[in-house]
Amino acid sequence: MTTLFVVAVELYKVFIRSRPWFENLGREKESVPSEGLDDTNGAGSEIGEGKREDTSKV
Amino acid sequence: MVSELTFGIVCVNVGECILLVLGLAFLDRTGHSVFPLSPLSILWVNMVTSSPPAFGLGMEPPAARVMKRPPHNIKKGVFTIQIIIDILYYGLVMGITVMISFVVVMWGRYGGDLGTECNRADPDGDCVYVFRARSTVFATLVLEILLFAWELKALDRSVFNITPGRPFYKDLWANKILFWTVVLGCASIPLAIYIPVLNSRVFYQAPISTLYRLLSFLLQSTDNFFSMGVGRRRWHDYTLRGGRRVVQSLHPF
Repeated sequence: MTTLFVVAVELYKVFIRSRPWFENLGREKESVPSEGLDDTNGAGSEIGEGKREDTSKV
Repeated sequence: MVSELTFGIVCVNVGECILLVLGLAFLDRTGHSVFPLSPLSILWVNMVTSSPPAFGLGMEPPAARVMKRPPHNIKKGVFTIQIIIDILYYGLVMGITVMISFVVVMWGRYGGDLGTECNRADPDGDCVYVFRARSTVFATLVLEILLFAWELKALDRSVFNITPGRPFYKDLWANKILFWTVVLGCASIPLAIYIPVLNSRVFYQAPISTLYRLLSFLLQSTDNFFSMGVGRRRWHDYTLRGGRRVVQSLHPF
């Protein structure tokens, strides 16, 4: 049974988990960052939409 | 990494939940459920054989392809749809395979006699078959948890090809804490099954013959290995007299 479990895990990883369609499940195209190396960890759009404090008036 | 640590613990808990919930369906002669694992066995599995590999996974270095993946969206947290599917799949497979091992021993070998009040009775009566089936479940579950910890080193790659072009045993050896927790966890399985009072009074288990044969094979292989050297005859004599006697004293039949 342990061997069966390991084989099932390996098959799942090779044939399902590593496929691009599985990686893209539940991920909208526009929410996938194209540059991806900023320090915002994928939440850059929030900062760009005016949530950062405006310090120009100070 | 922390996500693998959390992921591994949750998968094991889902597998145990499936095993124990499905196990409620097994009724003995008096109509009471027979647990596939005793409560202290569950505690042993969670504390001794499940947590240390999780700590080892927490020290795991980043995967080789980590910079090729898109960044993780912090809005979705740790539990993305992929992780939830993984947890359900691994937990389901783990719970079902362990359950099958119980069913195979109870119905395939011993005819399905679940005895009477085997959740607390001595193994000397009609509960010996249930106790042996529990030992099988225990050994299977612990082995699956420990090998699964190695599988978690890479979620989307085979454990035999974690780093392309590198032998898999080097990847397993790279995280020594995880390696030794897995090895020592495997070595701890016979403690709960073969130590006389501990198995029957604490874990409600009984010795099983398959693991005994494996232990006997390993001991005799070690004996043969050392006996190949001429200067190691003393060690050979020692294991021939003492080692086999130890195994024979553990033999349940």
